[in-house]
Amino acid sequence: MADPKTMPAYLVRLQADASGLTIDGQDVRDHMVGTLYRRAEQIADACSHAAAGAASGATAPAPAPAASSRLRRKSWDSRLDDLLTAPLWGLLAMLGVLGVLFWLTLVGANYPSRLLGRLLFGLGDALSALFRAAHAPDWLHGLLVLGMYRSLAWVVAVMLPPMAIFFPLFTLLEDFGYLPRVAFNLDSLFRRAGAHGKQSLTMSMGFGCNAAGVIACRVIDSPRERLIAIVTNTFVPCNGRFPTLIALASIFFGGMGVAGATRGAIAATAVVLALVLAGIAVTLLVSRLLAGTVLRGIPSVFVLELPPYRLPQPGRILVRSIFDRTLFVLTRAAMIAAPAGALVWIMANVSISNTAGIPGGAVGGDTILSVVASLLAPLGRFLGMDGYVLTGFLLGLPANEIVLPITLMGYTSAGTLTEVEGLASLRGVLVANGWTSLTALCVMLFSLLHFPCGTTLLTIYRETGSRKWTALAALLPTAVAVTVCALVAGGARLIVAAFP
Amino acid sequence: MSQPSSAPAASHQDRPQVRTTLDRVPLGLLARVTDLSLEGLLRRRLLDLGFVLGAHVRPVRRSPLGDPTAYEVMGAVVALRRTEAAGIGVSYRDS
Repeated sequence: MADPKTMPAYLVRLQADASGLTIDGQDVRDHMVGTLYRRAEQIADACSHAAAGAASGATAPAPAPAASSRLRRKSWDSRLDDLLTAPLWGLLAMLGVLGVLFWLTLVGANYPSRLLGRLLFGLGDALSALFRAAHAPDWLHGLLVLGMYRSLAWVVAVMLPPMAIFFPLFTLLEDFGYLPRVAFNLDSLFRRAGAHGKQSLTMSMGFGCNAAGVIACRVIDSPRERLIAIVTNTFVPCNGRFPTLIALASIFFGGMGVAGATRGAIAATAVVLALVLAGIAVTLLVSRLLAGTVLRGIPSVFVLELPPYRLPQPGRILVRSIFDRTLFVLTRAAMIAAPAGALVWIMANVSISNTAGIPGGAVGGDTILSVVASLLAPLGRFLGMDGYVLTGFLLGLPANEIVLPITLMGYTSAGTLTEVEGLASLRGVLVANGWTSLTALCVMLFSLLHFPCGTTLLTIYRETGSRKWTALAALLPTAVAVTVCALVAGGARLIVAAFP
Repeated sequence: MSQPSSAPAASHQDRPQVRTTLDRVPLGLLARVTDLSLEGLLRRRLLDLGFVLGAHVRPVRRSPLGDPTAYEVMGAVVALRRTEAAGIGVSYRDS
């Protein structure tokens, strides 16, 4: 307090008055909130009585019809909640919902993907013809059509259909009010991992986009638990990685998505579901690790509202999922895919020994891409993959969507990217380059667990304001991915050696 | 908002009154908040959600894994972990 001599008279008077009061800040707040609630209740009561009186024409306070209809709706709500949060059924229902979501995406995306691929690559051929007719130099045609256009077409064909199915379905669940129930069901696991129950909400958001998931971590008040949620968000496969996972699972575990192969689709769904569960398990383990080491502290408070279920509004869902999510993610991917495609084309067509002029078609051998890939080959093989895939992951840092296209471009370098319009031809390219189910498994695991994409890293930096945490968010998942892939590949080699 | 003040209170008048903390109230029984032994942000959050002195609270369901419990308070459903619920003193009539 200031010296009374220098204070204006009214402040001295106020201070004297205030010292006579014995309440502290907490009491004032309690009193204010309590009064607010009592007053609100009085108003609500008065209203419902007035409504009842008006409806029945009587003056005696009758049970309010508003209340009884609320009770009816609540029983519908709570019966659904009884099922969705029941000890066993609640957890099974969660798996079931997730499984159906993946299955619909996987099955539904296959045909439109092929159609879109055929269309876009056909357009690419037309573009090539146009370039030839205009006598454009080979390098220009290669850079623009074979590099930029084709990776763009690949990303659109592979990503648009699954996103256009997954995002509306996911938004439907969100709109319905299911996500808080998931947090309610799983909180105990997160509490035991030293993390916050709302981390399951930020993880759900991560299914759409990890950058969005990282921003969603703002709902967690405690800085410690928020950091845990931010660093581990990448273990949830985002929509940029889902197409890769779904394509590889269909090809190598689901009988390559032949039309009508229901059993194959179910097997592929099971593989994707298992990967997602593995991601959740890793999230909990790494959260536990962080909470036990660098982010030690007492668990913070957990207050979660379970709002009533709402009938979803189809129009709003479509607008939100198509415009806010699908097109947003697709635009971002496309903006990165085009320049990355150009870069990869250059890398695949400029040979180290002949850097003077850009050749129209360096024939395999020592192009920049093949040199980089062969440098990374030993590490790639150690991780159950190969040098080209690892190059794809590194060059795919700006966006996970382009990892597979880059890898393919590496395989089919010298500008002759095969027209990969369906899963069958994709399988052909991969198998021709020595892929087995083990390779696919390791690539999927690496994709699931590796460093977050550039956008997510930037978001993490913006959200934490710390280079240290951003670096940890990149290095820790990479270390996990390297360890897991090395173990899987090494284990498989051991088994093969033991049982030849 | 007005559900606490309706019928059941009168018929249970003769039952023994139990004073305990919210985490120990059996599912489905109506309890009344008697004191809050929580401080700071959590206290404010709970007050804002309606856990004010005298408010009626009913535990409605438990998570499949046992810990957070959902409570009906002021017409909303709010889930609290056991540690938080233990900071809310309540009284209820045993049935």
